[in-house]
Amino acid sequence: MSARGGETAVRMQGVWRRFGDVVAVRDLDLELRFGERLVVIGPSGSGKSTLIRLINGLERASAGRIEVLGHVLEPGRAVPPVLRAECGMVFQQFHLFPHLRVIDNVALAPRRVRGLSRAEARAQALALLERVGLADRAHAWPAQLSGGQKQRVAIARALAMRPRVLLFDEPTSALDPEMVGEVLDVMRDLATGGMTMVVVTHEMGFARAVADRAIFMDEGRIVCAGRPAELFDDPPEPRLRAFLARVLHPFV
Amino acid sequence: MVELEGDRIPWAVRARRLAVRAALLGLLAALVALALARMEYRWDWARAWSYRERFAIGLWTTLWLSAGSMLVGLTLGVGGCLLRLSRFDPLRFLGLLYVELVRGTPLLVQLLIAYYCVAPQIGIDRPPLVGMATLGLFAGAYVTEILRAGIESVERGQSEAALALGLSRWQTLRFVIAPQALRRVIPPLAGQFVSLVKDSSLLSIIAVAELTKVAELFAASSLKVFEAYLPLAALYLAITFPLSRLSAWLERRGAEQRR
Repeated sequence: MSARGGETAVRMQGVWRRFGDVVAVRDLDLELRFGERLVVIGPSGSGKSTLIRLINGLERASAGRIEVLGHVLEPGRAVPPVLRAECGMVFQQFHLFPHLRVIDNVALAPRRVRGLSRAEARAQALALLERVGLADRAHAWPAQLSGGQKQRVAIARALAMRPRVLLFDEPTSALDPEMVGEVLDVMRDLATGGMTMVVVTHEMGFARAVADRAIFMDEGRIVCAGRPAELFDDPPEPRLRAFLARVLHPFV
Repeated sequence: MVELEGDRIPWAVRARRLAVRAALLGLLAALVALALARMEYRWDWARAWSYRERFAIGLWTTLWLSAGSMLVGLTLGVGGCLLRLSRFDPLRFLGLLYVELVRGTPLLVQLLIAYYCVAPQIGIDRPPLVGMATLGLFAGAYVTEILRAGIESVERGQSEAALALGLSRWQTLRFVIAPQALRRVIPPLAGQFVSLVKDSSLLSIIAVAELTKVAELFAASSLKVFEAYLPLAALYLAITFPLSRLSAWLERRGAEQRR
């Protein structure tokens, strides 16, 4: 039984996360197969972000069992560094390193964690920047980029560690509307390439087109789950219906 | 209101400002001159001038003692900062204890304890050495807090992004947090060095022949107190003024880079 084996990328069983008196995630069960594209939707404060931060150990469970890529994350035990390297994350606020040029943002982790030489890491970084359409900005500083460009660099940076799962925490929520498309295009390419993805998002069109499965969270629980088209067209749950109405027709 | 772009002040405004400042300085100088003229005091600058070599040696001593103390302070500050940020509570406590004990007692008292209590017990009788060690220990506590504040000023998202890429805690500090913090702590560190130069005057009470001690000796032997202490102040200013301008310049440059 190797860490690489099996079909399941993430398995969560009875997971709780409390912040003081506040329960962010309650008694949550979730399984994610390799190659699956999962979209997480729900109102703010419903525990979506906490859910994906539990997967790479940025948040730790208060109770329950989490298994990611064959590693068990036990409460109170350090997160195995391998796990973080194999499990990429893209943040709402990008969090590029402002003191490094774009190319070195992408090359840093492969150099320091994987031990690549500077030349190797930079060559790989350039190829990845090419893939997200930003090879020409390789030597710019992050402060010189638009929001959409920053997020595409952040995706290239995550890809540089050759992750087996990619987590997206509201990747387009901090962007001006005209830049959402360029980021979603890159994400769609990744999905087409077979990447295992968990995406917290409010982009219902993207969810419908790309995701195999959507889960709707509210008050720390998974309220319902299913194929996005079925879930959105015929919401089985009043809370989901109300949420969809707010997201799709915010001015009504 | 006149609208001005920070660095593009019109020539006329600049000239007027300069003229007003010069006039103010002239006025102040005139007041001081008036006060001095009404004083019953026999000036003897020649006597002070004959002491110039000793002043120069004192100045040199002040400079290298301050620089040496700052080096000690930076070393202790890095160590103290790592203690303060440790994951291990007893180490954090040690760091806190160091900062609070040193910042909570006067430097003068620390010097008295170091020179009269500690140094004789461990058999050191070289005042400059004791002075530099004590001043370094003192500065180290402040440097600890400057560095800690600098590191904590880097947004949490930066370390989360680094950790999420698989960097260890140490690598995150070394390659992501520290380089950003360093830029922000240079101005306050320069300010700390200015304070250190001034505080080194206290070493005169433990018989270190630095600048202040030289002036005191001259004043005691000649009774020419004005000729002793006015140049003393001017010499400290000559060191600290360029340093504080440098610090202000670094701060401005840092603000520009952070855009």
